[in-house]
Amino acid sequence: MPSDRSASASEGPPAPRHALIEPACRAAEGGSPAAAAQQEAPRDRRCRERGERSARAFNEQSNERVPGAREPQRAREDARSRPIARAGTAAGVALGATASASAQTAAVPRSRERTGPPYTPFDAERWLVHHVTQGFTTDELAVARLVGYRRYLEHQLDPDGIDDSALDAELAQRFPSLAMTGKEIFDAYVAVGQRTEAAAQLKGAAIVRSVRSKRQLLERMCELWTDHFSMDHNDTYVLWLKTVDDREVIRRHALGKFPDLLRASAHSGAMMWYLDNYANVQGAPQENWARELMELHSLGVTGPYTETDVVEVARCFTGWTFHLQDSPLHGEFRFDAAAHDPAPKTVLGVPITAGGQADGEAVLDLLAMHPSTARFVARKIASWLLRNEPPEPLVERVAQVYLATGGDIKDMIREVLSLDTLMETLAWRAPKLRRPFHLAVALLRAARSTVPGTEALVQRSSLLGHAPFEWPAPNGYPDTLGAWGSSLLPRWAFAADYLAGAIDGADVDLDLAFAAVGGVDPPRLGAQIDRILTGGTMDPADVAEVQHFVDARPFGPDVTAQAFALAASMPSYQFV
Amino acid sequence: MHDVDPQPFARTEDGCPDYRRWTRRELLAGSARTAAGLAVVPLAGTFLPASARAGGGAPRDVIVNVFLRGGMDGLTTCVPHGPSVRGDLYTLRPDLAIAPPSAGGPDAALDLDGEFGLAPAAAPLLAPFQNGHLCIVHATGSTDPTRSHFDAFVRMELGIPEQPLGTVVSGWLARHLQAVAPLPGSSLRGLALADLLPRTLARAPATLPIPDPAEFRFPGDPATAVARRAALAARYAGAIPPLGPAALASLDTVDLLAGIDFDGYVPDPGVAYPNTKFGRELRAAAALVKADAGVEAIMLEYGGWDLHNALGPLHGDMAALLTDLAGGLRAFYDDLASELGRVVIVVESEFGRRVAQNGSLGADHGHGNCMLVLGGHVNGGQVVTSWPGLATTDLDQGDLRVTTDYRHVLCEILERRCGNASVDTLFPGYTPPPYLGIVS
Repeated sequence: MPSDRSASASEGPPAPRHALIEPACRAAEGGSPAAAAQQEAPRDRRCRERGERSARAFNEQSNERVPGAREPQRAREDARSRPIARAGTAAGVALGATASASAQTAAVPRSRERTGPPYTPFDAERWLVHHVTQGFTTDELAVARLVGYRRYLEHQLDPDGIDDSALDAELAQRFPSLAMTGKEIFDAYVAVGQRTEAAAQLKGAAIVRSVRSKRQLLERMCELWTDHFSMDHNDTYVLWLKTVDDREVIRRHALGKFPDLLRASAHSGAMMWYLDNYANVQGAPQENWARELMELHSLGVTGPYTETDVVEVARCFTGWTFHLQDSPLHGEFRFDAAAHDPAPKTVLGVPITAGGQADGEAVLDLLAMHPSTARFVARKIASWLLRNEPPEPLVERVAQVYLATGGDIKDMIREVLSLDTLMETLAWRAPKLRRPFHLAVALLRAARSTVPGTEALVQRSSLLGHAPFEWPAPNGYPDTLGAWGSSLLPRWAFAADYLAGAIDGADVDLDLAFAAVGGVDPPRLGAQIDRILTGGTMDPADVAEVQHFVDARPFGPDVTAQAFALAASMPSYQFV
Repeated sequence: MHDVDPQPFARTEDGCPDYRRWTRRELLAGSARTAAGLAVVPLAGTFLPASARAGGGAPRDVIVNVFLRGGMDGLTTCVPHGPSVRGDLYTLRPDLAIAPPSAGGPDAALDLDGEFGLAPAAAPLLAPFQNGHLCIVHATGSTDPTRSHFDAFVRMELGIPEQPLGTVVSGWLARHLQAVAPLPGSSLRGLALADLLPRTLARAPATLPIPDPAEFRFPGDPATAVARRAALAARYAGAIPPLGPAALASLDTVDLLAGIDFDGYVPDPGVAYPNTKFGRELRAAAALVKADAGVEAIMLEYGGWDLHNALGPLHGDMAALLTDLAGGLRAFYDDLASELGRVVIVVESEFGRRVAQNGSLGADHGHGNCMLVLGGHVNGGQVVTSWPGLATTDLDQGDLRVTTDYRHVLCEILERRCGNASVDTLFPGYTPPPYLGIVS
């Protein structure tokens, strides 16, 4: 929910699309800070001063947490806090508010801040923007540069502090099923012959959110957990109940605590259907979900569970089902006591004797705080955000954070993405292959698409092999070079067709994209495209090849578009 | 070397569309393909020896691998109904086990050899079996005891049932392609009809995942296509595997597939592929095989076999799956009648399902399973097995034991039909025992 302070920004004229960062962009790209300060309106000055005070307070508090922090670090923190205030308006205020709020709620000592020389070997802020968003944009980089690595991360870790209300309103209007209960969806669409409508809306929303939301890290984590608790849209009830699951399980807990996420999934009607647990009854234990609960959702396949444990866990969850379509509570969890096997069970050596729904809840408690779960989840988060095959010491450290914080996802992310971790793992030297959905979304973001229509994009994502909610197995879409690295043509086709304007509903605004780099300049087009797409991380030889393409023909707007698509097809753009 | 006189088809540009297409393909491939290659024209009713293609060497059949994901229930597909093999099948599966042929009626198994029978839904496979082209290997699978799909996939596809993970990253079919020389003029050696390259083909040379060969075209403005292709080729030449090799292979394959009319492909008379994803993929595979374009390995993925709930062997989900599988394979078999001598189809799954039915009239993850091997040089008409029995005391944790290692079956096929002279090194740590006589 947007904070009270950011409401003050609505007093003035209607905010431009990127209200949060436009002033920041102007300051970063254009006029001198002094000139900006001179033009400052009184309201802006008051906001700036308030931001300065908040930023200073945050710095005081955060430095207190780091015993032995030396003066140079404090000076650097203060230096970083000044640009926020100078840019003024909603940017500094919102971020200041965010920062102090997160400082107050933080309870776990984080990695010790590095003291000493600034991080010059590589561009940490730029790397971070690539890794906590669904696609790099020059706007996000400008914010990250202004506020610095840690504050930008904290900003993205606080989605409630980011005002995304305009997009929320648009989503509610375009995709009304998103907010509906299972029964409402059933009555509004399924019962009247539109079985696939809710699924189409959910897929469309997934694309729009990833492209347009300001809460980029939230979207990134929603994608991770969607694959972790993967369901196939094409399985009857999942077709419309996944909308409820997406909202109540995934989005609600994506940046919360993993045990809450696990429990919510176990109480999800869609999951009880998808993995057959509705058929898990006394005398006839149904193993499917019990197995995947341990193998895929919590302990991991090497987690120490036996085939007997699978059966025993199944027995604990007998009676866990969901309300069918005749009930006003359709899709919601229902415990059927008559179907429950109350006899004592033993799971992972632990006796489960209470009987009733408490047995399943006890298993969830057991799994949620099991060290194997901590390691499995730690590894997933580190692999997702940092690099494939994260080093074992890091996984162990993040697992310890899990166990110390009750599975706090934000704290785990802070550990995974701390500057110390980045330095220690040299993660920027091990870029990951972009999955196809990521490529598509990143391109849409870079080309400033507002995604007015999603039907064609959903179909294109299917051609990429990566349509939302379409992976046919419960283990979710893979995230490895080996899985996706042989499929190049679909990527090239998406880039070419999108930039040519040939995908209905996927608009392209290259004028806006190039405005951030000073407008289209043919002799430097390759480098400009590199800056727009990545902030300048592409292989120079790839960029040169794009420039060569531009130079070899008479210039025109279609050349810009084709060069853009060519750059996005280059090998170095396939990695992030 | 020439078993068939190429004369019947004109060698000029006035030849029939098929011939002209092949000529153009040859020019594009830039190959010095021998006249033997040009002689590859499907003549109805004639098997063209694969030796003609490989220039007189060992047979080089096209291997078509169909992976059934989820754990296909082999006890339904190939029912051990006979008194000496049934064990406790009918007591453990009172609602699922298909009745012996003697029971009669449409719900009884179709007898294969007196002991084993086909599920009625798999009836289309009866004729290939009786024609001697289909062999069923039973009580086979991986020695890996895992009952996890995902673990089983990795180990079975990489071919390392007993090795720790991380030691091997290539698939067994990829290693096979690495071990045999490419066919002359071949630019695409392996193809998976899927969005993602299956692990079986991980690290395979000149191999791509292409879900729809008819739509595999270089995108964008035709006026700039040459320049853009050149730019990508230049930059991907040095890119890390698999990206670099796959990108270059994609560019070559665009040209190769452009010379094959998939949309306009007409199957042989009387052949009707099911109008399903599997049916359409087999149709594309048939077009590819007939085009004799140098593709040696084609892989298909078929999911949905994980029937924990309501297996439905006669009228439900399993029956529907078997109908599609058998119908598709039969259409493929009929369509490739003239090419069958150079094709071998292997149908496998990661594990079978538990002997005892569960409380939801389904079956949980099992172990031993059956494999189907179909082709012109298959010693068909037999169920090859070292049957361990289905008495409760014979079972492995409630599952059919594996008495024939799946690698044993694959090694025989790859050595005898696909020209692999080094199968001893194909599967790390595994040397195949004397062959079972599945293919000749």
